[in-house]
Amino acid sequence: MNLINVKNLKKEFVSGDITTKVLRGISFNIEKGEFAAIMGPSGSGKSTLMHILGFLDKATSGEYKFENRDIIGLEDNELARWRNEKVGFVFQSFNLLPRLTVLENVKLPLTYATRYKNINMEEQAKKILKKVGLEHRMRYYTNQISGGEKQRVAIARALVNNPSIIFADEPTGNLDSKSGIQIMEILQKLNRDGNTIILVTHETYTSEHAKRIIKIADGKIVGDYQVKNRRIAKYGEMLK
Amino acid sequence: MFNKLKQSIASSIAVLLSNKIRSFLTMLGIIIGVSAVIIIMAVGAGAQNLILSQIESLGTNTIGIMPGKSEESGPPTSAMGIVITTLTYEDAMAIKNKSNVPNLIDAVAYTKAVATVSYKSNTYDTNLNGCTVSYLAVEGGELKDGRFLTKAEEKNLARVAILGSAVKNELFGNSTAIGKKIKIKKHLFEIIGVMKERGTVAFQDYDDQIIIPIKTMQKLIVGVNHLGLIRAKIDSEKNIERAISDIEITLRDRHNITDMSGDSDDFTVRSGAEALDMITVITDALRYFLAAMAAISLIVGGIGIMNIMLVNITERTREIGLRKAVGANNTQIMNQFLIESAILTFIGGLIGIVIGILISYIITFVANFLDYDWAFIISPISVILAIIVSTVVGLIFGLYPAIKAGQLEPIEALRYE
Repeated sequence: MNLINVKNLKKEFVSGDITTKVLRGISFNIEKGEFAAIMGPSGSGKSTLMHILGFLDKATSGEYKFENRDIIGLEDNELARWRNEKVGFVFQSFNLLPRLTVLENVKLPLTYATRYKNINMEEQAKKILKKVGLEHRMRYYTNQISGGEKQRVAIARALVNNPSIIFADEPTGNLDSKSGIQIMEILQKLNRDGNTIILVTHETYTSEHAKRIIKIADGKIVGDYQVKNRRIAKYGEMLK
Repeated sequence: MFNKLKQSIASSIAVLLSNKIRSFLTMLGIIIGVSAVIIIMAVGAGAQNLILSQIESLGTNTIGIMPGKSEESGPPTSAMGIVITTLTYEDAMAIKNKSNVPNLIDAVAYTKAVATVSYKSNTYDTNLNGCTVSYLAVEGGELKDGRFLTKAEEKNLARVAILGSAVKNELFGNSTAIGKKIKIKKHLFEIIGVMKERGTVAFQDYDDQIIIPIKTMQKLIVGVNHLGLIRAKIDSEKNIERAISDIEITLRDRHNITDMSGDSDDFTVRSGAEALDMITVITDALRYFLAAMAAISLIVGGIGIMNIMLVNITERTREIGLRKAVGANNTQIMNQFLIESAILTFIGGLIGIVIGILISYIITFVANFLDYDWAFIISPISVILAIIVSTVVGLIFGLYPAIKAGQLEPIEALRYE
């Protein structure tokens, strides 16, 4: 089943007299259950593409269908609702709120949800924290835990609303290699459990943890292929 | 819905607590404004109460009759220094007649002047009141020594005087005054009585005066035939209106005025209650004017709130971006910041009220210590109003920053360094 259909997607930034073309006609599909990496050097437009796909930004022209619904032209409040219900984000810099506890950070998307009438937010957040192995840290503030733990909190936050897709933007970029492997292991496990994941990265090594790689350069797709020798992250084995 | 509101209030408080000093400084404008309003309202009410209770102690069941016609709400003509001679001793006697004014207890006629009195080498300037014998029955007061005037002395130009306690002390010190003779305008007066100390009541100093018989005053001292004032005491406050109209009819009859509308009257009849109303209106206006001045500081406080909220939003741009990324819409972000500024001013208002009440209480304490009969009055309306106004100030001045926060583009907010 098609989750994402993108056809001839373009994005331009206008600043004074200068128009910068960031995306110059991108077309691809993402199926439910995929684990795709969007890979390219910095400035290639991969982050802009992810922002548009994640309803954070709007394309200048082209077609974008999510679950067969047209996204282009939706107004801000509608996009906010789609972000809340359909996607989860994992950012390079974690973007956790320092004044909130781990549990409260994970709960945050639920507090903005309108579709749940009777849900125990606390229980739901705890359940997800257990999934990433951090239930023992739930009363901690985010400045009291390590970088790897922060990113696992961010993953839990991305999962808490049962999204259709998870966007991970350089999730290992700010982590040491051990924590990075742990994060990749979690993402691969989530994918095995049926979650659709799009990984954005500039590293070939990281991208090879995905099943498919979409290579972008200068705002265009320059390669789209399945990974042959896929890397499987095993944190436990590394410890031995 | 309620649950979500509770949650946003809790998280707003957490944010405000995380930066206590800034939150407090931001609130300071509101605290000062609210406490100023509370203090001014309380002190105003205390002062008003003091003035009114003094006037009331003179009796609201007294009626003043002054010469000359005056406008409904304006001061009587005679109060402006114009000498009008329409009121006479016989008028006062007619009012005293029970068949004319049945509800009357008694009425006293006055002719007043300021005079220099002397005893041996001591001289003293004081108020000289020519009175009828009914003085004590209408005005109250007690004799410390001696006796009051008699009916005979009232009319036979007797040269007798009753001293107020202050006059007695000035002229005689601690020695006895009864039987001694003082000099007023070349005439010697025998002192027959000394009044007990009574103090100043409603701007009237009862101790700094000398009372002499009215005819003596008219003929020997000022050389006139008219009265300055008649004061009548009525049996009950309920009968004031009736007594006023009885007095008016009596005087019109005596002055040959046929116009019953009151337009042709050459006198003015005023009840104590009317004077009370007039003073209440004036003091109320003063109180509210001062409170409005104090309320201006609330606006200054509001601008402080707006300033800090704008800084706050710039500092928390990334947080706003993240909240939008996980699905908050413009309204939800806006509400969050609105609640924050409203809570800030609400708490500021509460602190202001506590401080205001505390200072008002201290003022009451000091005033009572200085022997004023000062009441501690905090009107619940001023407290409720202070809370509402301070919260509304938070909402109004928080609105612009909150709208700005709500309109931030999520992706730019997330990228903000």
